[in-house]
Amino acid sequence: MKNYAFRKVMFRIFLYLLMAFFLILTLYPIFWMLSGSLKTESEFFSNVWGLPHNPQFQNYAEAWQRAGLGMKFLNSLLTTGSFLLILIPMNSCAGYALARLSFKGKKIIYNYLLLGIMIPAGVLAMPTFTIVNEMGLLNSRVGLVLVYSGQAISFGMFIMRNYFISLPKSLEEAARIDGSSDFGAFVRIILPLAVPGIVTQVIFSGLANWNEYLRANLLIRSAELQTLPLGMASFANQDTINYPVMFAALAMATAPVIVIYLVCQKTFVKGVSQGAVKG
Amino acid sequence: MKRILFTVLLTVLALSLVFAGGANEEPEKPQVVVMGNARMYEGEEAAWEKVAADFEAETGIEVVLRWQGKWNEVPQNLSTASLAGEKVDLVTVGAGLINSIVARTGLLMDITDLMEPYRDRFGEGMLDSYTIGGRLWGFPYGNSAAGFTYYNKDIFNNLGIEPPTTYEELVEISKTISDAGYIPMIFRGKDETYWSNLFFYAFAQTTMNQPIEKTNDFLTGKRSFSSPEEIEAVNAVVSFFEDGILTSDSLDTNGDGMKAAFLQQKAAMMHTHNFQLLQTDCPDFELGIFEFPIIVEGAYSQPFGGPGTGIAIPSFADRDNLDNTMKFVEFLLRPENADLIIGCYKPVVEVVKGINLVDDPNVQYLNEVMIPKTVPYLDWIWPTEVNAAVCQIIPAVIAGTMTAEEGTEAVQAALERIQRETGYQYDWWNSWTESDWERVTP
Amino acid sequence: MTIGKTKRLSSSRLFGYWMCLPALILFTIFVIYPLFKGFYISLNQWDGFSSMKWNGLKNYGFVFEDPVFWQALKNTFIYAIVSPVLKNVVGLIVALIFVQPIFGSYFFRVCTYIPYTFSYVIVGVLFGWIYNPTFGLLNNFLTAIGAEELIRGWLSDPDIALFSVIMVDVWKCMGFHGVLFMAGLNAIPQDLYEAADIDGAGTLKKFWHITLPQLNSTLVTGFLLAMTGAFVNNYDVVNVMTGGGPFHSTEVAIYTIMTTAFRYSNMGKANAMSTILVIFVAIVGFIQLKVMTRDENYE
Repeated sequence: MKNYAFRKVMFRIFLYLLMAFFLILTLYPIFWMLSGSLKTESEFFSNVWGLPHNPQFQNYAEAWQRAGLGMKFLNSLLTTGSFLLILIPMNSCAGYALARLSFKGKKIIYNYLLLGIMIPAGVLAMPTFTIVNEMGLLNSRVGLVLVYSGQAISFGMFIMRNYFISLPKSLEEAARIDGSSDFGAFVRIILPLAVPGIVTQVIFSGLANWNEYLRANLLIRSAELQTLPLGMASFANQDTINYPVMFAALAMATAPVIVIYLVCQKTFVKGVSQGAVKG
Repeated sequence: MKRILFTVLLTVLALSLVFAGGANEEPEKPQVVVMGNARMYEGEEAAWEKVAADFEAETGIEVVLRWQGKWNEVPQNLSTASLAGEKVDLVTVGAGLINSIVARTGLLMDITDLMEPYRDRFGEGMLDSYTIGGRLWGFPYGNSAAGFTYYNKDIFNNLGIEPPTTYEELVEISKTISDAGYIPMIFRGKDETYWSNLFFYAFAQTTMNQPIEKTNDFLTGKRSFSSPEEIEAVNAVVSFFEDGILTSDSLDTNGDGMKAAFLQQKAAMMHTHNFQLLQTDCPDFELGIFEFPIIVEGAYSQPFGGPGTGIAIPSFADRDNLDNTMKFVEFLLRPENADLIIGCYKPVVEVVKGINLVDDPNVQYLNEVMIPKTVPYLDWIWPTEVNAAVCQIIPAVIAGTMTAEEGTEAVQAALERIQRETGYQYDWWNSWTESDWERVTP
Repeated sequence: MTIGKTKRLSSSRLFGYWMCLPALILFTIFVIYPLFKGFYISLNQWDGFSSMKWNGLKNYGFVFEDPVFWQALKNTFIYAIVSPVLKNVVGLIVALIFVQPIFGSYFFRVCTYIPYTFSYVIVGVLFGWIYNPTFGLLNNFLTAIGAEELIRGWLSDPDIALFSVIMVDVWKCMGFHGVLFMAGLNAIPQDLYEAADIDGAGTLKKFWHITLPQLNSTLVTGFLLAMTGAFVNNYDVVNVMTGGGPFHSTEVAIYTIMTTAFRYSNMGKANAMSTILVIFVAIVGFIQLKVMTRDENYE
């Protein structure tokens, strides 16, 4: 018994050491980015790893103003928001159908939609531009959002289908006894259980498009519609990158993502454990 | 809570759909649209806005400024603008891009005649990099540069050494520096596109200061890249490593690392392709510059450089609006306006006459000794693939994975490959048809 | 009763199609149509600016005789084998810490995910400094612990540069995979462990016989994501870390494609490369799905 307690303590210590190791790996870069954003330009090079001697908080003001972050924040919010609003219902429906309904050609549809995770989005950029131009949707948020949604289907559908498959078979039957329609049963009973899948999509696809540059640069043609990553281009000079100011801008652009993640991940965990208990 | 979130999201979507299309009503007053990469220097965007406002006050012509993307994405943005039928009157585009990509695509207007009245507004030789096949495709508007070596005067004084003029002297002082525990010279070897820069300097001397002529011969097929001069130049760069001037530190160092190693006084010298450090950037020591040393007897040290940032007129620009466009060009070239915008670049060369140069002890040396004999960077003239090949082979020869002969043959093969695959022709202007020229003539 | 059932079935059949329709439409317009357009471009000589010139299958010939592309494909396969294994192993390790009922595990979970939100610009600069030979953290650390013989040119030595890049990718993604695994771990019914406890099974045995098999679907997801990511989604990390060098040792297929298209303006050849890549990935992806998903639970 004593041996058991000893092993338990050792295990704890081991866990904490492991945790400390990973924490250094993740926290130090954050600290480094924040301290870098407060240095002067020459200090950034002469004092790479240390704390700033004299914190330059005005870097944040300069970055905000120089990259025009206010407008771009709003644009990024609108773009990513509408993107998710289209993507989530669409993928939930498709994922549900492909997981739990039986109809002819289901497998073909599934494999067809899955093709997308094997296609590099960067390669599609030029052809996509031509198509959006043909549709007259160039330089509009709608065009960008539709492109984002179309090209994010595969992953989301895959995730959603996985979660729907893992739910117990008895759910629909219960709904039918309730007398719900097919769609009603899906929305009221099944969908709430798929929150983990939805949140995974929000975090993964939402984040990918929050940072997306290539397609945004092709499809958006006027300053009023530019998203955050396009704003970062104003720091992208080959020789004289002002790292502190750029880091300040990036810190501000990343902050909301981290906040959303913090909010989401609670729901995520809750959703998962609830699903498991009920199953 | 969920319901509120849902409502908010829906409103957001509805609003975004409403605001999405953007109104496209006809402009009432005359407009000049300037398209360009996102402004990169502090205060530059504001300077442009001020100049645009002043111009509108004087002439009643509105200037629309559209900044987007990175400097090297301008060709792509220009092409998409053309495909989408956008109205663009002026585009900011660098000399390197004009030479290697844009002019040959026919996306730029031949502005030789339009610019004739304003040629005297530019510094001596500044329009050369924008002249291809005898025609002018753009004009410089920004800073200019030339490559050289920075050195740490304090370290040099402490060790009792002088900046070298010959290769032997450079080897000598490098030994002294490295014995004192410093890296003699640092270079951005990890940045793939800078190896060719060292090659230029050696090549200028192995060709007895005919680098441009020999490069033209190479690109038009009159000369192979595996000629003795090229091989000798590659070997000269390699000997920088063999003789301990450059060390393996440079192989793993990018532009930032190079600056940091120099500013932290870990390296005593830093080879650079442009004027990127001012004395004010390094408060800890005194900054000096010297030219590339003489490596071939009888040749002189020749810098490479040129005014990289410029402005051009797209070939698809509205011909009826050219008058307004040229009025704005004239306005931009007035010293007081040029000073407002180019001043943000901390200029070291008088690209547009009348601008104030940055106050730095090394600027005078640059302008008096180096700029007069500077020729354009060869990678502005080479197609991108050739530059990439040169940048690949030099570290490979240094690492011993190939010989200089094999390396230069690989560069020759790269040129032949794009001739085969993309129909690359260096002197495209000689094979343009009448209708090609018509498209780019105002 | 029977009639009602048939009716429901048929409506349910149509219902399936309705549910898939929006996704099918958008997917076809914005993925499949551009894909075919890209294939069409691959049959032309095109710089992306001027008008296209038909040249049949020539671009494919050019790709086949281009040693850089084959080197890049080889690197891609190495990447696609090493990075999924590492990402999932590290992801599982951090997930196992996430679910421990110990002080700080929630904080830990929050922090681990943060690198995933970082923009690649920051990642590139940060690891450029860490790997730097002169004042990099890594070599200084190795010197400090007296392991000088381990010091390398992490990004300049062609033998290890690719692995240095993969490590950065693993670092960035460990939180994401950790969260995936945590979801999987939490979904394992506790009674399985209770039953095993009664049988007197040890921790390792439980992990091997209960945890891992129960994580099957998470593993499939994690592997599929990491592997397809290695094929089509690692442009950014390679671009900021090494730009494909030294000597193409870190050049992956998507990087070759992007440089051919946007730096060398050779759209035809780039699209030929991507057609070849898509075929490769499709084959590998489907084989992997077939092997790893043992049963279609809900057929």
